[in-house]
Amino acid sequence: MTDLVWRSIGELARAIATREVSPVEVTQAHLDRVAALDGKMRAFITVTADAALAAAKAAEAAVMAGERLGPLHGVPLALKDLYQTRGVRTTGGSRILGEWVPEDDATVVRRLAAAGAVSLGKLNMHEFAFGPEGLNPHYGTPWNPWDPNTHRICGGSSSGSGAAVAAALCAGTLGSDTGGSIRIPSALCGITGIKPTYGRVSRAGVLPLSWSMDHVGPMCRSAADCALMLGAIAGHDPRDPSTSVEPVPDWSAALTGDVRGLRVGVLRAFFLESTGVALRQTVEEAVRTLEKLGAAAHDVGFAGASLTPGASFAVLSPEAYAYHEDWLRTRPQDYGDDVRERLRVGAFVSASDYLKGQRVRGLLRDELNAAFADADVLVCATTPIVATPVGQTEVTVEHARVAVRTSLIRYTRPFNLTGHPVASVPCGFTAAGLPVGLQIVGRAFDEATVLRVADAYQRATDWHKRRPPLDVPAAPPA
Amino acid sequence: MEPEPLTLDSLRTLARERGLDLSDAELASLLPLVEAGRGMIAALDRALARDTEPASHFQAQ
Repeated sequence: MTDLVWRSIGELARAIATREVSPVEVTQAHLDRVAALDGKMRAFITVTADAALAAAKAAEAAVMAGERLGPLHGVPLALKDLYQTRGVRTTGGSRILGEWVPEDDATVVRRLAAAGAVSLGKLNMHEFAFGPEGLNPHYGTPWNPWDPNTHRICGGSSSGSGAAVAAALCAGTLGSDTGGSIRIPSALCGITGIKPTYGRVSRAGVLPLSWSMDHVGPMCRSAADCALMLGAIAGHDPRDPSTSVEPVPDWSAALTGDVRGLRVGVLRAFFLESTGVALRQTVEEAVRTLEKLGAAAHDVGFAGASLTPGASFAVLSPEAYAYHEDWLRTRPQDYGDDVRERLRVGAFVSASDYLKGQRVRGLLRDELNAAFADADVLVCATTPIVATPVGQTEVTVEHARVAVRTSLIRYTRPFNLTGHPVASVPCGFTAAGLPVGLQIVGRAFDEATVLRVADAYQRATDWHKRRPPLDVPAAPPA
Repeated sequence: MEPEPLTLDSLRTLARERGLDLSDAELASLLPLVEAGRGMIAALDRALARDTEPASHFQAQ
């Protein structure tokens, strides 16, 4: 049964379609694991066990009837709790929406269901997605599965998603990413996630943090699984006018394993600063692996990245404030302290300042597009630091004290401003056994190349196959 | 151009204009965050030409 929960989405879908296993058996195995581990993990806010088993039974009946099956048929997934789900409360990780039961599904929730996925429930997150640590004062902060002894952050805001996938509580999840919220927990939890191009996936029915920077994407244990999930949710949606009419390719078919001749631009300046030696070496080793696979690596600059803190602040803060303005006036006590304070800051950003941020965004996008004249993908670390203990606000890197919060988003948020697609894949572990992530950035709407490189890297390495020490009994005290 | 430093009183005034009734302790906690944000935004000026347009535009359809 334990083996079943560690199977990939692709393996599960094939095993279900060929009647090797029943969707009910697969769903029950995951629900049993949630029951056994989530008291400590706090990955879930709401477990919909009865609905999941009912959906699994229907999926089983469809298999037995020989019906045409979707690519995720019978596969148990879970959703970050900011995706609206009809009849199931959607909290946004907040007390404000603690009892809110939507009357409709988000578009991506409908699309996952149409692809045959079985939802196990709603996953924990930083309140209203506004924090890269993944803390939550209302539902408990998820526990990073890679350290069973110390309560470490999972990274956020999709912290429950990171924990759930890493601990095999579900086969894959939907995260969301405004400054790194898919990629940061993917890196800190040793899993694979992709923030697609802005406009590739519908945001309709997704609680917003910042309308112009929010991205929806999958978090799984491999690039191949991300390709499957992304294929099920991508594409134009009349409910979200920001979605593109670009055709959706078959991303699974793009995973050829071949990166020979591919030009890899390595972002070192800015993107390897404020990083410890061990983490830097891990990323450099990942670049060498891509070179051994036949890719050609060279340095690429992105000078505008130094402007991202200001541009991101100018755009995100007032957009978030605009959404929360009424609640901040009428229910301030219902927010967690950190989120309430950061939301309030947005009240003091002028319209002119907001537009400065949007104007700089165009420059950053143009500079990054120019970098792709000489490169097919760009790579860099996902985060400068690994998972820190919950409550730790600073960390020492190369003899300098840096803030955990700003450090976590340093390398990820430039690409929320530019909108380019980025995957994060596990590329190693520290001596303490904590995962390190590598970002792979592509041209706009070229998720195919991003996923191809990520998949080729994972065919050559086994970082993504490692399991956290959850199934190993704790050693008795000395 | 560097912005004028904010004081607790000026922040209180701005907060009230925006309908936020904040205590002195809340204002004191907020002040360094607002100041840091203003400083970061001021740093954007050096990158912008007068005719640089914003990245987001309304689309009629």
